[in-house]
Amino acid sequence: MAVTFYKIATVTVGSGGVSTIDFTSIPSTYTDLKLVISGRTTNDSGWRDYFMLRYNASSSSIYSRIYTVGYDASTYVSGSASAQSYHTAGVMSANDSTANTFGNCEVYIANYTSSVNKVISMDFIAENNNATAYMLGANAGLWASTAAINQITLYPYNVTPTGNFAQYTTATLYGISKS
Amino acid sequence: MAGTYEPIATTTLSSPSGAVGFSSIPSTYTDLIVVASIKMNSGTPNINLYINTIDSQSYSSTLLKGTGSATTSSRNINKYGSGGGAPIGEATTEWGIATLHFNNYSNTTTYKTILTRITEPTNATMASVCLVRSTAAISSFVVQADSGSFVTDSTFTIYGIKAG
Repeated sequence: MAVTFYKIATVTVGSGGVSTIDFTSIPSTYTDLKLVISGRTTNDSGWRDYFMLRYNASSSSIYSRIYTVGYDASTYVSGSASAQSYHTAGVMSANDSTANTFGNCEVYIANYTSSVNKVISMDFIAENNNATAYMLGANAGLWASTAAINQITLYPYNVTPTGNFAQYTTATLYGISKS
Repeated sequence: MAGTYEPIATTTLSSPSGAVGFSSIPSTYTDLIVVASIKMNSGTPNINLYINTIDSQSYSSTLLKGTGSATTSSRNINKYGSGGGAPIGEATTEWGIATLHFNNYSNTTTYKTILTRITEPTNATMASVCLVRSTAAISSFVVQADSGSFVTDSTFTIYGIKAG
């Protein structure tokens, strides 16, 4: 029986936190990649914190996205960002959110080794267990590079991290093969 | 390692086509996931899902769409016909990703719900839910554009998921 959904690597953040989570030497043997994150940061940031992705350690201004989010007291908005040096992939719980809450995010990268620009789907949710503080959203991302993706780096809050990913944050990278 | 995420079939278009379908889907899995890399040759048509050749007013869907300047929601009831089934989003002349989740697709007791995400980086980010009011196991489906064609090299892969 074929197995086509492989765990490439898992990172579980230990005591004290880490400023980045890095998946390196990603093999080129799969069709798609899926990154699943359960995260929290050490920043006091109004209960939720953004987190960023870079591919192949590239800081070139070739990241863009369209997003739609719903948050807090029945607010929803769609916006876009272009010529960025990173993808704002989503939000996770911040240090001042309810204890033991973690945000969740799924990132899907189709055809990550192809020689065309990469389309990236990023979905996220953070919940704070009160009446008015939550966020969920969906990103349509583009990394305008024809290079195969062999590295993915996660940053809390900013690509110049203000804080850390908190203890018990987990990130798992899966490879998916269509044959 | 148990095989719980298995490719059932892949279609890569060798020429443009307005519709792509899968048939004779085995009922041996718990859920199905379809991953598609799609691009249209023209326009920004609705993409419709058409299940088990059901051509009756048995579909409904709810869509959420963010364009970068606005978030909208739309509702479609009893859709069917030449466009096929229920709208699940749209595609355009840029490469995008569509993922479809057919949960508990082979049971013969409940109506079927399909969750879809479509990602198009300069057009829109979309999510939808589709209901087909049929208790039959899903053994075939077609993804069909209202107009235009999916371009050559568009790919559609269907995976079977087992709960245990």
